[in-house]
Amino acid sequence: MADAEGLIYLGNLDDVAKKALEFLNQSEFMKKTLSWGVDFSLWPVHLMTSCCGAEFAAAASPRFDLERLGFLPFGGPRQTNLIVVEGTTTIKMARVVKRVYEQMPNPKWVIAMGACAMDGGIFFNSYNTIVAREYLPVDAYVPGCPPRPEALARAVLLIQEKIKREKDKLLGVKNEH
Amino acid sequence: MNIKDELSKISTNVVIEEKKANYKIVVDDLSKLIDIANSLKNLGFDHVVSVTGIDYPDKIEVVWHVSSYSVDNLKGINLALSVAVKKPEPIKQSDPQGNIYIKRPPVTVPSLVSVWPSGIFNEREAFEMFGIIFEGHPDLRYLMLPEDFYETWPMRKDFTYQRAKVFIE
Repeated sequence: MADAEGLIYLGNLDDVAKKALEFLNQSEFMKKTLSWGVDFSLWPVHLMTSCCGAEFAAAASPRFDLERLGFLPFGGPRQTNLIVVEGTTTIKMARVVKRVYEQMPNPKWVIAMGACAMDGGIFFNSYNTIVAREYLPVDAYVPGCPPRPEALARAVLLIQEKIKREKDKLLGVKNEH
Repeated sequence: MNIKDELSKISTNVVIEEKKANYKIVVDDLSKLIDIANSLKNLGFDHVVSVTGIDYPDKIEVVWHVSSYSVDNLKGINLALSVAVKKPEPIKQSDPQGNIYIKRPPVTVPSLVSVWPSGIFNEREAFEMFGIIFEGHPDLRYLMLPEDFYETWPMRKDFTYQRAKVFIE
């Protein structure tokens, strides 16, 4: 309804804005746009726990150039949304990895790279190592000792597929910390 | 200087492997250990290469490998100074959930940091791996393991591998 000056009153503007935002969030167009934006900006935090970090560096360098998939290593965890557990982690280092993971904003993904991060590798019965799945929710595993950079690229593609598949979960994920 | 004669003056219990020119002094009495170490230092052995433990069924042998930078004809020699201590009996304990676990008390030997200061980190490592308490060590903390490893000595033969015990906060 309109008054004499032609302005339209829609009720409480806060409510209207919230409803409009909900409508946009649930529209297929926004979900597609958001998942497209996220899966080509998987920025891993540069945390080198072990020797697979050499392959990680090779993957990010010009010969294999995973930046064409949006894989751009960052120094600080606050700007990242992907963590790659590179090889074996001791218990002391696992506490550091967990702390870095908790600093990253949601939504975030985890790659366990190498045989040691998958199931212990040659350190499977060591007194001081721990596998990645016991302290992080792992999304993709990369087998190999060490894996080739192509294998890491495959894991990044797998996570991109997962983001596209689960695009409903991208919105409304709140930061716990 | 004949090293064999000099060493036999210091201790009667000298084991020599002639082929490799390696020498080993086995100390019988714990109270003599610091005196023997001091006389070895006067001979020219001026630094510790490694400190390690050997786990036998009834005893733990502690070995200091010492060598020399300053005296020329001692430079190629790694001398092992070893002392054996009897292991205390393991104590059976049960936690509130009713699980019985075996606690293995550490053994005690005198520290040789006062003689060779370069062994300070090596003795800390031997402490965390084998459960050897070095009496007189100025700073006997864990070197590499996290603190919640206390009283499980990973390099002993009776160490059992328990993954489920680990807690990452």
